[in-house]
Amino acid sequence: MSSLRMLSSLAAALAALAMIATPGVAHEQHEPRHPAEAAPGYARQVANYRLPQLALQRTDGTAVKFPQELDDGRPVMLNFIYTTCTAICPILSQTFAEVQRRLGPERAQVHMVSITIDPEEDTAQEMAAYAKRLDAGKQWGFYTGTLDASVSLQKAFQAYFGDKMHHRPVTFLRAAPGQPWVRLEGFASPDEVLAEYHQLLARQQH
Amino acid sequence: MATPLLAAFLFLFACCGLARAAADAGTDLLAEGRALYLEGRRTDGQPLAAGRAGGLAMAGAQSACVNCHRRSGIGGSEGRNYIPPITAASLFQVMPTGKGASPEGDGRPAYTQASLAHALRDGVDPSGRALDYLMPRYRLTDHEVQALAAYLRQLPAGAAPPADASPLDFATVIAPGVAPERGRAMVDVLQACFAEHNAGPQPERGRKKLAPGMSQHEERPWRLHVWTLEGPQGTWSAQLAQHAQSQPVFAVVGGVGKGEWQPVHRFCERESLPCLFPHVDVPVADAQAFYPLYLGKGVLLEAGLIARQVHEQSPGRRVVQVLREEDEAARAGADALQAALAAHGGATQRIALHGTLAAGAFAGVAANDLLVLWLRPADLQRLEGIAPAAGQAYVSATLAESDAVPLPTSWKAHALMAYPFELPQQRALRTLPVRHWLQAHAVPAGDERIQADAYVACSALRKAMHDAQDHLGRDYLVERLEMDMERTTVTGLYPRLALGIGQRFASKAGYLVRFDAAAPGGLVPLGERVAP
Repeated sequence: MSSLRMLSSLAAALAALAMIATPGVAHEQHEPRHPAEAAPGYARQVANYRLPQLALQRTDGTAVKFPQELDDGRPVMLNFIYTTCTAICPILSQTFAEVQRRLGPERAQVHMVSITIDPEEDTAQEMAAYAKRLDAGKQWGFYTGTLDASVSLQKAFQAYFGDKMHHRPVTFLRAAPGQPWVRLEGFASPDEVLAEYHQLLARQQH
Repeated sequence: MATPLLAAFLFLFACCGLARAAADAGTDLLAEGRALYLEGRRTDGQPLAAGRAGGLAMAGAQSACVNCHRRSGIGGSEGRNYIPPITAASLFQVMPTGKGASPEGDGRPAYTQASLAHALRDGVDPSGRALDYLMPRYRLTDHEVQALAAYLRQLPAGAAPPADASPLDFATVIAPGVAPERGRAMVDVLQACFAEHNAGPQPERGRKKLAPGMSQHEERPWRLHVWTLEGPQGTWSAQLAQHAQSQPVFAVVGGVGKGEWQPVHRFCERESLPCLFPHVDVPVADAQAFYPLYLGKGVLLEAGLIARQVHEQSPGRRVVQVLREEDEAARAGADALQAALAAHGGATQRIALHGTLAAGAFAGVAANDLLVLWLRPADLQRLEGIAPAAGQAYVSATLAESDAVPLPTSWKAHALMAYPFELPQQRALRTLPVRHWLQAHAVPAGDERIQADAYVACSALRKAMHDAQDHLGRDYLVERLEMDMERTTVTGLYPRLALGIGQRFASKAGYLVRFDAAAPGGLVPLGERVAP
């Protein structure tokens, strides 16, 4: 037991070293703001991802090119979800829905993107129904496609965890095309996502 | 003399009345608890409301316990998130100490109604620990907590068979109209699979000595019963009930249907009986059902593939569907295609065949029409000598019953086939272990599709029964299949199988292929494998 613990702390130390050694990646650990709420906090990273060229489908069935779809000039908030997921995704999706609500009219300035990791089940119609349940506005796009396309994109974002039962909550933010991504790993609350978003925009303007 | 007797009688009467009232109240309480747990519906009919850390609000079905803790109450895991069991045994008993921190709590006192209310409302367990971030905080009255507790006290749901070493019984269902050799192909594979299960794990057999602390788990032997149905569909339900009564079974595995499967599907759902992966032309698309699971979508997927192609490549062209109305699978395919095209404003026409197929059947078909032939081999063969009636035809791989489609060459040149399986060459590799297994178990080669489906069904059952053994119950068996199917390497006819919570078809995608005698396997895919 103790040797296992030693091993795991060694692994953690190595991982931390590896992170420090990675150029262009900054790390911060955000402690939960309200310990009483038992929020687990989230880990923040800034990273560049090389996104592959691929085609995805919007909820109306039209094909769109990625990553061009993300490069419309607006800041992007992106996550990976699937519609039959009952524990993690509802929180990710509700968080985006709450962010959308709190942004109010400002929401038109941002491009929110939810990509399914279970595209064979989540057809364009299923994604449309899911978007409707969340009352998603025009700024929030839901995308499906082939399984290969979805997996390639998850891998490019370093958010591929094997099959869908193993996925983890990650939210990605980017101020503008060509800018690095801010990666929030964990359950970031709507307040926290909004704070990160506004911080990102403020930095962009300076 | 009569007065005390009367008094005693009245007393007894009152007692019985009270007992009945109490029993009724218990039933009501359980029903109220069930509505909260499964549907997120409160006693007054209003949606159950809950909040989460981070200011997220949920209501109704979204906030129902079943979403995470599942029907069985055994919970599960998603990503790195562990969903603890909330069955009677885990909530209403003291958790042992000294086993380390766990989501169930180290040394946690047994829940009482008051502490359950505190946990549900404030997210604090009886030992004072905060519950997980994922656990919502519920607004519930004391009465509702009592109702929920009544429901939780009878979890895990889904009757588990008695935990002894007696054989566990399973059934397979053969529908009327299925050719005897096809029914036999299913039963032979299942019986060989059961025999292998009953023989125990191979490497462990003959082992004389186990390492200290190692114990060999003896799996219960299984018995297979074949439920052969007869006569019209209206009588199947009663026949199934009769079979189940004379020989209760834990689950139904495999089975072969021709045409409709609805009565079997409904029976499984009504009796809370897992019915795992029958070989059917038309599975039942029923979003509400929990217990019946299917491998592929059969003609329903084919209709989707054709509809997608028509919509993308030839919108507005007239679609003429040719079928025998008495062939239920053909009718289901045609209905599904008609509905899918209608959703895009497309119109379809039907030609219903009667008697022997002849050139006259296509009298009203124009060269520019898209002809969809929902026909079986006997009719496809008769197209020999009839000139192709339209520039583009579609056929169904499901109804063709094998890859050797007896369509004349002149028709094949203008035809596409909706193909819900893996392409022949890759499939040959996937089914190689199945063929070896059949040989090793002296099962004569029969229909490829039925044997592959039977093998996949039985393998999935074995894996899920093994994984579920600590909490064996019918609901948990289905939940294990939902979670674990995606990891199986035994996929039979399909490139990939995956389920998820509420997903009832393990394969959802397919190809459109054209015929090319020169190509390997004789079929060439038109594009990527898609889920329409």
